[in-house]
Amino acid sequence: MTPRSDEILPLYRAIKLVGALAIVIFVAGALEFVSFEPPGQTTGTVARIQGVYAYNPDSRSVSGEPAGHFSRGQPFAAVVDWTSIPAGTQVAARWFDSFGEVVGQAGPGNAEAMTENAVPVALPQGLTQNIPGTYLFVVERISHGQPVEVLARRLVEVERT
Amino acid sequence: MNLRRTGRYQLALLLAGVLFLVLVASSALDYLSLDQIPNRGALLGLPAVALIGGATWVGLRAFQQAPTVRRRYELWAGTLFALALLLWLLVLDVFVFTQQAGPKVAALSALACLPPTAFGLWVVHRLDREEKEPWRLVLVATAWGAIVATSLVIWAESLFQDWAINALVPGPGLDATNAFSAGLFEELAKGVAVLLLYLVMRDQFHDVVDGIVYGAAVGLGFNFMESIGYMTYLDSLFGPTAAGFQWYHRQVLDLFFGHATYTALVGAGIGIARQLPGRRQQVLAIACGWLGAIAAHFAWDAWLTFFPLGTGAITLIQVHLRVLAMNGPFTAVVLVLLLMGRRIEGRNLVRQLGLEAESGAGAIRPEEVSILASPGRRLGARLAAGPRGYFRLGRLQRAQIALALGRWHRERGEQDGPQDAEQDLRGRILQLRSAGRQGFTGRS
Repeated sequence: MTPRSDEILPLYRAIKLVGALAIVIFVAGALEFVSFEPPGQTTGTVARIQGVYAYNPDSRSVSGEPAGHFSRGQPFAAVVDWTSIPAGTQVAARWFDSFGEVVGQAGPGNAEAMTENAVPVALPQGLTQNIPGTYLFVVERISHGQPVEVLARRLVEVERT
Repeated sequence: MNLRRTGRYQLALLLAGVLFLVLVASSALDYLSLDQIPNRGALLGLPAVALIGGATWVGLRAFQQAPTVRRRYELWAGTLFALALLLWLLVLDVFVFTQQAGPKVAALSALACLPPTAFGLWVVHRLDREEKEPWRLVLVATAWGAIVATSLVIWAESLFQDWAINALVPGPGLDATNAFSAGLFEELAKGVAVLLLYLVMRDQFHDVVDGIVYGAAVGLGFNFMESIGYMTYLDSLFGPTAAGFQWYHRQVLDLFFGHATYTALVGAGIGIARQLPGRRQQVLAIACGWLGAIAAHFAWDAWLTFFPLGTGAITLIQVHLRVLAMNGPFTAVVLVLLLMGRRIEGRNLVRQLGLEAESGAGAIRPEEVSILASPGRRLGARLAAGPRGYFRLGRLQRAQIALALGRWHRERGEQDGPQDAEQDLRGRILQLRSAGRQGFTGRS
C-alpha cells in the first residue's frame, strides 16, 4: 500500500471484511449442505416407480395409462413397486410441488411394511385445484430419521390451463 | 488514448461479446424448449436485447464526442432504447409468467411497480451529495438490471436447478444448492453492468459512492422485473391479494433491502478498486464485494425458512422483522461503506477546491470554495440565482466539482484520461461563467 492510497485503506479493509464474512456464510452453507446431503450414503439400490396415473380420491385407486402431464383439476398418484427395494431398508416417498412444499407422503417405514402402492398428491389447504408447475416425486432411503439417498425420482408437469 | 484505457476498453468489449453470445444462446434455448407463446416472446426478446446493446454502445460513444455532435448520438441511443423497450413490453405481454394472468394483470403489475421503483431510484441518485451520477447512466444501469440481467439468468438458473433436482435429496440441502445458484448467477448478471461502467465510463465512476449508486440502480431494475414476474404468477394462482402482498413485500419492504443492497455491495467493491493502486488489490476488492453480494443473496434464499411465519396479525410483524434481521445487516454494511466514502470524497473535494482557487486559474474563486463544498449552500446559491439562473449555475457548479474531483484523481495517479482534459474543463468553466455573467457572489 502506497502512502497516497492511505485514505482508502479503511475502505479496503472494510471490503475485505465483507469478503471474509461472505466466506463464513459459504462455509455455514456448505456445512448445512453436507449435513442434509451426507457423503458416502450411496448404496446403489434402485426403487421401481411403475408410473404416475390419474387418481380417484374416493375409491383411492389409479386408472388409465401412466402420464407425465396433468391438468390442474386432475388428481394423480405415483405407483411404487415396494418389492423392488431390499427388505429392511427404511424408506419413504414424498411429493413436492413447484414451491418445494411436501404435498403427499408415504412412510417412513420398512420397505416390506409399505402396503399402499399409490402415493397421491394432496390438494393444498384452501385450494380446489393443484398448483401448476413441475412436481417431483421421490422414493428415499431413510437413515437416523433423515432422508439420505434418493432411490427413484419422477417429474410430472401440472399444466397451467 | 493511453494504454490503460485501451486495455479497459478491450476488456469491456470482450465482456460485452461474451454476454451477447450468452443472450443469443439463452434466446435460442427459449425457442427450442418452451411452448408456442414463450417462443414468440423469445423471438421478440432477442432483437430487444440487441437494441439495448446498440443503444448502450451509441450512448457511450456520445460521451466521447464534441458537444455539437453529441446530441445526434444521444438521439440515436434514445431511439434504439425506446424501440427496445417497446419490444420488451410485447415480450412482457406474452412472457411465461404472465400467460395465465394475461396482459392486463401484467400491465397493472408493471404500473404498480413503477412508482416505488422510481422513488427508489430518486433516493439512490441523491446518495452522492457531491457529484450526482448522470441520470442517463443510472437509467441504463436500471434497464440492464431489468432486461439484460433477467434474460441472462433465466437459463443459467433453470439448467442448474434441473441438474440439482435430478441429483440431490429434496430438502434443506437442495434448497441451499438452489439458493447458491440464485446468488451466484443473479449477482454475476447484475454486477457485470457495474463492471462495464467501471471499465468504460471511468470519468463518471469516481469512487465507492458512485459504485454503490450504480449497483443499487441495477438492483432496483432487477427487482422491478422480478416483482412483475412474481405478481402475475401469484395472481394466476391465488388471486389479486397474493399479488398485492408480493408487491408490498418486494416494492415497499424489500425495495432497499434486497437486490438493491446485494448489487450495491458489488458496486462498493468496484468503487473501492477504482482508487486502489495495485492490480492485485483491485481484483481482491472487486472479488470481496462480489462475494459479499452472493453471500447476502444466498443467506436470504437459503435460510428464509429458519424464520417461520405464524398465523394472523403477528405474521405481518414477523415478515418485517425477518427482512430486518436477515437483510438489515447487509444494508447496514452498505450504509457504512457509503458514509466512509462520502467523508473521504467530501474531505478531498474541499481540499482540491481550495488548491484550485489558490492556483489563480480563475475556474474556482476563493469565495466560491465554501459554497461549492456544501450541498446545502450550492442549492441555496442556485435558488438565489432565480429560475433561469438555477440550471445555468447548476451546470457551472457541476463542472467546478468535476474539476476538483479530476484534480483529486490526478493527485492520486488515478487519472487515465487525456492530459489536457483538466485544462479543457477549466476553459469550459470560464465559458459557463461568462455566459452566466455572474459568479456565486453575484459579481461579474
